[in-house]
Amino acid sequence: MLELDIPISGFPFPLVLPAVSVLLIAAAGVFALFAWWTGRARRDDHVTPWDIAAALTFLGCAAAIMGEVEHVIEYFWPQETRTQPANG
Amino acid sequence: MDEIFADIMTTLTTPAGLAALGQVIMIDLVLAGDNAIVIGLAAAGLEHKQRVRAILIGILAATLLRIVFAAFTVQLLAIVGLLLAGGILLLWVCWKMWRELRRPGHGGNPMHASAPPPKSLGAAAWQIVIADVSMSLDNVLAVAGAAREHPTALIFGLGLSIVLMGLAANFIAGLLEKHRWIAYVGLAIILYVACDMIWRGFSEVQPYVAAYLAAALP
Repeated sequence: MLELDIPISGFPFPLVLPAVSVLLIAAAGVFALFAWWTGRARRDDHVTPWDIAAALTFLGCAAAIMGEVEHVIEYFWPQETRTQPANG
Repeated sequence: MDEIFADIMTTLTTPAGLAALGQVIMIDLVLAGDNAIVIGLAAAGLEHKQRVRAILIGILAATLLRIVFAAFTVQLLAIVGLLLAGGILLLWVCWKMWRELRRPGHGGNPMHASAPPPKSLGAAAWQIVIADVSMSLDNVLAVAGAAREHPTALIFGLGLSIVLMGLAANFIAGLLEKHRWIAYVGLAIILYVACDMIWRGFSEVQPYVAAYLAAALP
């Protein structure tokens, strides 16, 4: 979907959303580990680290879907075999 | 045995092997996203034990389908209209989920007096499997050639995506039960995936339809 090819501070544009997705899921993992380590209850009326981990996971999944896996795959291909969207 | 060990060593010690591993990890992380949201959406209306079962069915189905589709990628790529059919199938799953969300028990229209029967494990599993068929098909066609020469990297990636799908789907199902409105956001994301598949599938089918119509019409 994202056909723009603008490098952001040297980072290839097609990889921005997949990278954001990986970062969000990693952050979710950190919150989940923290919640597990501190023994926080999963069901609570207040916002818990589990909720934050779940929200970050949801956002990470959404970013992954919007990012389009084709761009990630193409970016790992040799330069000469790439098609337009992943030339960044 | 020696060959397996040699492949593991090649993957972990050579730049090409490490690059393939990194590629597969990133691709699998990205691919697990849509499956996790669909499984989380379908499992959210179930009680805890059934939810765990639904998630297990979902990740098993997604894994099996990815292996089967990966084995037949060349044949699948030759079938025109497969992407369109997958998109329509996913759209149907979206419609079923939309109707479930609109039920009174799910925070829908409170004017409905009669309570509908609770969602069954069978219904959730059916939705998950159909969505998995559509999305695994799309994903496998996209990653057809990725890291084929490094089976260790592929197996590691598959294992990682199974764990990630299970954990993410469980988190998302819990989140949707607590904050039901987020389910509409999840549904919108899956609807986007379905529409994208239909659009790309239609673009693929269009020349064939145009050629057929040109030949059929006088």
